[in-house]
Amino acid sequence: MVIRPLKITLGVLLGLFYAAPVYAYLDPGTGSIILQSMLAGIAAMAALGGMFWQRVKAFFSSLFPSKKLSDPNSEPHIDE
Amino acid sequence: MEAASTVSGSFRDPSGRVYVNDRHVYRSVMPRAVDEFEFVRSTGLLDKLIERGHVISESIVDPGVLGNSGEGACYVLEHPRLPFISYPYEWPFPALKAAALLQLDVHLEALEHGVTLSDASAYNIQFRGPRPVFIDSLSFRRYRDGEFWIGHRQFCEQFVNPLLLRSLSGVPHNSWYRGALEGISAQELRPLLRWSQKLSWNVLMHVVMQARFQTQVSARSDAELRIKNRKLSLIAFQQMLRGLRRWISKLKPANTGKTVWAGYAGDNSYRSEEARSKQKFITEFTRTLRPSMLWDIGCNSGDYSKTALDAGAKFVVGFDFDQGALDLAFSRAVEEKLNFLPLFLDAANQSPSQGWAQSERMGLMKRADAEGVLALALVHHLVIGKNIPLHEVVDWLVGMAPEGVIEFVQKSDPMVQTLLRLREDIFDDYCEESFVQSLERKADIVRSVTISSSKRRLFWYRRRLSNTFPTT
Repeated sequence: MVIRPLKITLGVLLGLFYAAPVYAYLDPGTGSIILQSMLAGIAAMAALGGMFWQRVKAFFSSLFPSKKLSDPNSEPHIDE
Repeated sequence: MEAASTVSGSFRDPSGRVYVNDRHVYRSVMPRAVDEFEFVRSTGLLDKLIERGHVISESIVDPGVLGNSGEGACYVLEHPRLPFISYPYEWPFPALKAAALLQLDVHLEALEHGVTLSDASAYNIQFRGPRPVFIDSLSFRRYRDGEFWIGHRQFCEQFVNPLLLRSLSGVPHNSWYRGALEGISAQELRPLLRWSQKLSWNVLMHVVMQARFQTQVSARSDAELRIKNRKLSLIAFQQMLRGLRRWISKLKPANTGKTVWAGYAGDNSYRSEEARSKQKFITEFTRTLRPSMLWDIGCNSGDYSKTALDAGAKFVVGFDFDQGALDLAFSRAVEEKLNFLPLFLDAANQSPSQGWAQSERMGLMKRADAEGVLALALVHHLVIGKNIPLHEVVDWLVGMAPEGVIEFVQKSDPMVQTLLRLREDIFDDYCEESFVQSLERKADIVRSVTISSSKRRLFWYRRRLSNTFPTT
């Protein structure tokens, strides 16, 4: 799942350098849709990056547990 | 009540058509649009947007109100009639910007309710004073999970690119937009931008990349393969709208120096006493006439439009050709909450009837229903600046509204002398006597007053009934 948006975004970026001009009256909205699919890829990567960052933070938090986490009075944590 | 007639510009969307009579605008909802229409209304979105003043109000009325024209319609909506219809090629920069921001705000609110917009046409926005309002209530439809923003290209062409033209290059959008009614495409704008301007993320995405992708679309639909099974998540959709909103809200006209008229109010041959005399005369004229619609031709930054509004005019549409003056006038209307809409106009080349079958967008004179007109320090610009015969200028002004105030500036006036400085004086009949003669052929002079030492004179005319303006 991580690979796909990356692949599409890279593909689109590379495509920028290998474009052959064609007729303007063909399907005038496609440029916008390709752009949006690329922006969607970037948004997905940003979201994945965010998730990854959360995991990194969680990893270091588990190495150095804060006082709050070890508080016996805290709400019990249930794994989903 | 007069029978409702079809609005010629409303043919594009088969979901419904628009009809007008003297007081109301009606919109038919055809069977193909009923599901979407009912869904959108069930979300409560429109009530909210109407309450905020972002969308024009509507009520469902008996389809019989349209007579035979309403045949086949499932619903007929009634909207209040706006005092004046204007087009994006007449809007100054800050008006186009306000319209763009409204379009995005309406779309963002719609997405919160599971609704999206089927297009992003700037012609779906009109102005009440300087406040934009969205008028096409049939553009709303159900949002489908993962769908792309279909109106993105149109939004760029009709809002973003025309704004960028002025913001990055200092060139006003009006003339180009008037020639290309659908706006300015990314492919057209891209070559005009400097390399350094393309480094901005938003310019890179919405202009450079979009133009590039558009150009590379090949006949074998390789682009379609690329977007097949792709989706735009709701979050990415909203991020895109918010990103555009942040960007557009910061756009300003490029610093192109002082334009011809922006400093006019304080830097011309007027004296403050003259300004006071003018104000007094216009106040008296407006108080007597009490116009619901007044046109101020050559409004500059709106000094006398404001005088008329203060004296009881309900709505003033101002026209000028100077972008700096229009920017000032628009900001002033917003800040002072004036019912004043300043628009771009070259009086010697007014907006024509154009678009499909030359009837999609109406020419300026077809929209002329002002009850009063102000033409202050205008006539000499048309006669001496543009070589238009004096009597034609007078006929044009008198035809515009049944009553008005026209200023006549003598040939000896410093402003006229400036116009004549580098050219031969071929204007033998440019004198007050000819002006009065031309005026009296069509109208009675109610009052006139000399307002300056250079013998500038204001004439309050009242058109005789037989003289109406030909609207062709």
